[in-house]
Amino acid sequence: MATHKPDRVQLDRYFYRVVDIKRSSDFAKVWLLEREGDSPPRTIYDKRLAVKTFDNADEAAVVNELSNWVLLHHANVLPLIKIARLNFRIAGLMEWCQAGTLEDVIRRRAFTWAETRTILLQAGEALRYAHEKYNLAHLDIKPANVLIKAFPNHVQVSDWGISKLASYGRIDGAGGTHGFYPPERLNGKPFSGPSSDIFALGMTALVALTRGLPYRYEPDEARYGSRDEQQFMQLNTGLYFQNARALLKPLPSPIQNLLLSCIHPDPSTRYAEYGPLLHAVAGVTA
Amino acid sequence: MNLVQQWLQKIAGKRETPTQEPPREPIDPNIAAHVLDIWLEQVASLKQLRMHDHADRKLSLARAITLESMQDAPSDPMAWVNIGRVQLADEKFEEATQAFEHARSLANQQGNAAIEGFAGSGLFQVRRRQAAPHEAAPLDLSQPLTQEQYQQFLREKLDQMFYVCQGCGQLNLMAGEHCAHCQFAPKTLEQSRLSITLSRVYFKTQTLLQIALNLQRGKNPFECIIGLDAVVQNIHSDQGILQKIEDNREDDHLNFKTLDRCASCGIKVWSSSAEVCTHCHQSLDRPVLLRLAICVERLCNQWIWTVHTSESTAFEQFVLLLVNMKYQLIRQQMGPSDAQRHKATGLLLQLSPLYTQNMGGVIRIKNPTKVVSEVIDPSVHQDVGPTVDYLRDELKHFLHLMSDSVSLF
Repeated sequence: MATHKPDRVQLDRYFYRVVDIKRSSDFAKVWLLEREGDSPPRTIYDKRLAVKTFDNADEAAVVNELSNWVLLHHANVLPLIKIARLNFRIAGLMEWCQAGTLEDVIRRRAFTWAETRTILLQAGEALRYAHEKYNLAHLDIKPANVLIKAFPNHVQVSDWGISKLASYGRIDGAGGTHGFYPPERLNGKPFSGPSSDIFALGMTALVALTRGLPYRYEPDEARYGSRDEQQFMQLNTGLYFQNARALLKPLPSPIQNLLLSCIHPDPSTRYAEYGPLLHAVAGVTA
Repeated sequence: MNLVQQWLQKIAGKRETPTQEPPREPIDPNIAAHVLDIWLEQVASLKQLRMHDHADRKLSLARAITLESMQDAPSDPMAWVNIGRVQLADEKFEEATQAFEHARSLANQQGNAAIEGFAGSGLFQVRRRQAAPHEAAPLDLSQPLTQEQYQQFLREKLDQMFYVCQGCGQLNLMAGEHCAHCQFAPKTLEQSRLSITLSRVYFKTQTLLQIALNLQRGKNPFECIIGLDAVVQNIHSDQGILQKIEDNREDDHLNFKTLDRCASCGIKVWSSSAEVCTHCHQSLDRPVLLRLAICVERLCNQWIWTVHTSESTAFEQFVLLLVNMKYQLIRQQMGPSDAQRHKATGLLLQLSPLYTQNMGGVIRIKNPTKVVSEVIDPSVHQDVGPTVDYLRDELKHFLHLMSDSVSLF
């Protein structure tokens, strides 16, 4: 979707030049901003910043979500510096991560298992921390939301914008990105936050290793439906799982088994908690 | 009991570090200060968004890290500056003052001028944020002031200051900065002197409203204020103030006109609560904070053009509050504090009934949700009815946005 890019914006009391605007989801944009001139840094208002804004969203809900993000302090969680105002709208102020995201690397090459293992361990630790400390689920884990701080040894999970504070371990419907959410989220019934995030983490690892999602699309959309409809059908019938098995076949069996256990269609067969998952990931060194 | 233990008891409610806790890495007060830079900004933004639970949780984390850092380095003045900052954010002014004073004394003993300066700045912040004493004796300016008296003087002056833009007659807070309405900023010494003159240093609020009205009617200030020329010429070349105005001229500035008009057709939409343009019927899509900024700007002008001037303190205080809020909203995109919300509502209730300048209409604010207008004498002006209705609607909208139920997201 084309986004109008103004030259200059007001962030709280300071003015910044707009370098780029990236759409991070259906309802959110990330603005890459640079302060004009060479004046010294003003506390948290760095020379370069990334700022997330939300389109047509209920701002009360957005503030609620961002407030949860403010509380997170973990080496593998991208910190939300502040809930700010960008041209009078609510905005989340973040560090501008120059190295990019997993998605940027995947466009160029596949990750090795050693790299993928580091990503799984660090992103998994971030998710475990948020869940255990604040009962918070992410619900939109995908390569674009895993930032590379220092390649390949330090990653941070960003975009805690759509997570909902889980009550009693169950979560009502929330957004998410097609291809990365589990089949049980299709029917609109309550689902487990950790289980959903583990599914998305498994999918992210699969994409990192193979550079593809386990969905097959028929080009004749008049006959087979749109890509979203075809994906829905493959998720609903478990066909994606067979495709994933085929994609992972060239990899050693411990890696195959681990990732298939993360993305199993049946939540009761999938890893449901972070402790056993991280223990298993740490054990696969092949 | 030593000083560290006293503070632990005072702030954290414990006498000493529990022995059963595992040993931890010491926290360098300078690193803690950097962490506080971010955390205290977060606390401020959460409070402003009325997310008080989250703000309290964040403040607890900040309190813990500063106390641990102070235990690790009790003679490091920066550790005490950090404690002062957290206490100030928590609005515990007495504790903040004690911590900053202790930091200043330690820094002075150690010859650390930079931290002595931080501590002094912290003390100034405490005084600025503390409620003014009700019965404060007036300062005798013929004698040299102590440091404390000077800070009290500055605080009173800053809180009471605003000026009339010589370019457009709008009420603004900071002399020398670009006016958000007409982009005027003084460029010559003469203009800088005039900016200082058209302020509360030289005129009462009520007189400034009259001056603003004349300027908005297109009159030259030298024509409508008798003896203004002499006052301007009497301002000596105080390089401090004039240099400050010179610096302010370099500020980034905003053109408010682009914000209070319809983005589709460019027509000014007068009602701050309007959802759609009255001309082209396109959605205005104004965030609630912008609506409040527009509402405050409209009320400032209503106080110039419509509302009958009163000599009461409440009248003066309300104008000061409006100008301060306008600055916060437009220049800093900052919503009103809880104290400002309560003060605004309280002052309006005190000011009711508000008469129009021609005494043809009246607005009665019965309670924060009930504002009524009445035409007393329709013969004074053909538009007296629509005028009081417009003012009533803006006041209603203002009171609604300032109420506890609105979070200004």
